[in-house]
Amino acid sequence: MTTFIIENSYNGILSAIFYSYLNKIKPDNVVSFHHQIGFYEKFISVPTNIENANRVDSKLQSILSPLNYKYLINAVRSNNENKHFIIFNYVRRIIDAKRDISNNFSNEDIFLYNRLVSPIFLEAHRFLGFIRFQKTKDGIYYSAFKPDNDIAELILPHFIKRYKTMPFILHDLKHDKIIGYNDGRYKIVEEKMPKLEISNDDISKLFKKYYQTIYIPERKNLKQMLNYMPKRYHAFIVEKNELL
Amino acid sequence: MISVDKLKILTDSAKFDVSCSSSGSSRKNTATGIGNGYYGGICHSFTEDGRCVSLLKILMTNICVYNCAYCNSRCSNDVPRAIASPNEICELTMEFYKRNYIEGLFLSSAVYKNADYTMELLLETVIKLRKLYNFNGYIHLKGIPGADRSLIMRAGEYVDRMSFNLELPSEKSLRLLAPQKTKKAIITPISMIHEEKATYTSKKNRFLPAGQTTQMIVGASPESDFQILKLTEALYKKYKMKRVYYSSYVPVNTTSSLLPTLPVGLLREHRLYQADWLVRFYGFNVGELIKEGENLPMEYDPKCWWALNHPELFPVEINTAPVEMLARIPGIGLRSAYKIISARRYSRLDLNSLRKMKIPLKRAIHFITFNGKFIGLESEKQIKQALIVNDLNSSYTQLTMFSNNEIIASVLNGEL
Repeated sequence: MTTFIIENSYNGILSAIFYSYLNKIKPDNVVSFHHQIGFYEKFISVPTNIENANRVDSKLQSILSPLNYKYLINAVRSNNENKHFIIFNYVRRIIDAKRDISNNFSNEDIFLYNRLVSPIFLEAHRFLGFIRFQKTKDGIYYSAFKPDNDIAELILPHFIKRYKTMPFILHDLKHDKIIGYNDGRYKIVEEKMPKLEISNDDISKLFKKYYQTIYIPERKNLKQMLNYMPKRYHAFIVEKNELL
Repeated sequence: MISVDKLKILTDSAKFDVSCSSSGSSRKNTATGIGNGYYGGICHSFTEDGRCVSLLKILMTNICVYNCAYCNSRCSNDVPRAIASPNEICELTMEFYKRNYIEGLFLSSAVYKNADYTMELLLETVIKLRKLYNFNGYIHLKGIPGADRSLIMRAGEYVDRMSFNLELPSEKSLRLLAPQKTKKAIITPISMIHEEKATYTSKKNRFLPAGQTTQMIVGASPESDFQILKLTEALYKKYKMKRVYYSSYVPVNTTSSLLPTLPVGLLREHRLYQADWLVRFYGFNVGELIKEGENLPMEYDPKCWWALNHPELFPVEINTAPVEMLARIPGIGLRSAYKIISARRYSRLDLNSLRKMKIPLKRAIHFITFNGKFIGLESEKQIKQALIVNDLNSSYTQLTMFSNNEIIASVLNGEL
């Protein structure tokens, strides 16, 4: 049982790939530093080497379609605890095949990888709609949210285009990531958020009333609603949380 | 800012206009504006009836001079009335939009004083929203039938989508239940907009980028599903309608003897939407799904029913069938068909490969072979029995048909 231990990043995985091909070692598992290691496992710590990672990266970029490449570089955003191994195996398959076989769904490694990546982008799309802003007394629009996957950077471009002239903050509470935007520029920080004063206008009250009123009781279907809008997101959705 | 009570009245009156989508427009933001379109549409929230909330859907006013029998806002009905000013609507839209509650505005109205006066008020609102408030998000505007052509054409330059409701599936029913709305008054603007949009493709200024839709009430009048679907098919072909919506009739404080006293089961509406999907995306003709004067069966979804009636075309070999035929297999929808044709370029597929790809096989196994091998039931009668949707409560009050797991599954993943 050989386990590679890598940095939790895309470059970390590519470094492991390079190491694997160079030393002709096929690991039984690939995990990141803060994973639990079994007592009898033989582990090899693979440091991240940017040069080697870039070599693998350019090879992948030449094989994969632009869309599949985009999926790959964002695959580490997943919250799946086995993501490093799954992505590792997918990359191996691509390199061995020398062509883009990402659609070969009957292959187990590719299928698992697909199941890893799809939820990331599905969640990012959902959050385009689920993000709710509150207006602070300084006129900044602040949004706190807790996504399963690390999607803040994926949704940022959409909000920049939409709210060009409006300063806003996206605060991912689960991944401790804060993105601030103002006047054409943005910054990503991972510090603690200073306390913001939310201004007490009645807009959220109006929206709650609106949300209650458009509901047609004769068509009640909680199961369908929860399927589209899972309960774990409700805490930050103003019309679903009485405290907001 | 608009008051909570006024918002409640104007929202309550708008909720039976079921059109909710915010798709079809890739409108760009401007340097000083707020908002843009998102082509696929975005669902911002979901109500407890499971429907998506994408737009701020309100009436400008529910004060109406018409007296349509099925409508809660008809002039002979005693309900609280209100009217909002263009500024009130614009302000509310902007405040909701900035907080990412909505994709945009869905603005409708009762007929206030007369059709032209109402249309002018609506037009004033959308022009203000675009020009004064610099709003570049989605606007869906309801058209008032009978309003002047110039007002309607002008509106098309500012909004993303317009719709004129057919209300009922036949002229006869329209005359009976909404005599003040004539078929001519509804069809004329639909036709006008279609012609205008066709000529606009070469010009720089866009006209109604997301096209037009319409809606009809199902279950308030005696037309068969065949009639409704034939009408739907014609609307898509002739006017390039983006979507035809069906609104299940729900009695709202009605005293008219012309209307049923109980609401229509949602299952009928669901079957109509399934048939609508098959016509638009699966290449079916209405004539394949249903015969003249008939209604769609409740116990089977339309695609399953079609397959059961065409045993000569099955079983289909998974590894060689064309994608159109794969999509016609009960239980296998467009997404699964795509997965199959992608995967079979690399290797021959068998039962295990389909299972690994999570393709729903419960119904499909009776209609397919893997490399010639067939594991479904042999006789047609057995297959029919296996596929029937059980536990159908035929009572009219069974509106929550989503208590049946098979139907839930079909609605959730869109696969038929």
